[in-house]
Amino acid sequence: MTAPKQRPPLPFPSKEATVEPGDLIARCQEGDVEAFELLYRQHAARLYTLACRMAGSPEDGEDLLQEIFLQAHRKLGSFKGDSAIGTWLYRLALNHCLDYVRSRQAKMSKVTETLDAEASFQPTARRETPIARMDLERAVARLPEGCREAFVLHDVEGFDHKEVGRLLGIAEGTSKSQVFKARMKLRSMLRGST
Amino acid sequence: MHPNETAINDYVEGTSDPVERSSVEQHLATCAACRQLAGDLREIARATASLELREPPVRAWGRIERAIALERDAAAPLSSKAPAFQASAGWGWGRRLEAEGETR
Repeated sequence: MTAPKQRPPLPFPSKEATVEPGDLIARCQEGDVEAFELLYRQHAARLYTLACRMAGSPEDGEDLLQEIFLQAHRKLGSFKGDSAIGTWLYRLALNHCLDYVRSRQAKMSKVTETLDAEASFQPTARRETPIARMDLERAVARLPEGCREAFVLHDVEGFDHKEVGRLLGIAEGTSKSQVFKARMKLRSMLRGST
Repeated sequence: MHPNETAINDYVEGTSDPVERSSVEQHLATCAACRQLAGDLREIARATASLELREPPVRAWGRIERAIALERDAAAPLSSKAPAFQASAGWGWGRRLEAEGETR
């Protein structure tokens, strides 16, 4: 898995940045829970944000965050430092989110055909004011499954369509059309919301 | 005739080929509705780029800490597990009792 390409990774919060990463990891690997809490505080926001957006709700995002950090705690012993700890955690979180998405899709055969009608071409729509961040966050959470994950991975996380296709197990062209559907759906939802 | 939606989307994304780009540009110059669509798509891209990180609820770390403690407890050999009274009273109290026992 490669790192997102279109946009550099979002900066991690710099709380407790005075602790050397190597020291922190070593302490975590020795079972120091305080060190692990420090690691959590440095990276939780980034991973929680990813989990919330992929899952579509803060409640599911919180559950995912717990599972991600529990798994990180179990696997930290095998962390060799080949990549930055933030990258290692991000990959672990992304895999966890993708597993969650796949298992949910397997349970619910929810399809996005209805979106085709809703996101149909409406060139007369008008928007005069900028989109507020909170409006957009809410609208992203309301996107149908399938196109939401593709939109989050491509437009928010910065993966290209080829990588999104590989991550979601869909064709590159499908990723492109899902992202487009998501944008049109967002346009439809956000029209008149400001 | 409007270009198809994908063509405008590709144009906004900057992934259309030169011929297609030129064709869309010519159309946008004369079609207010399609200019509006292109503007909306750009605005969504701009707003998406400005999305911020979300802090998890304060309780989230507590949940993780408890789950780690439970896993550790389950993995620990039986002999090293704390008696029930220690678990319920908290480790600090349990350790105090042990220390007092050692000094007696």
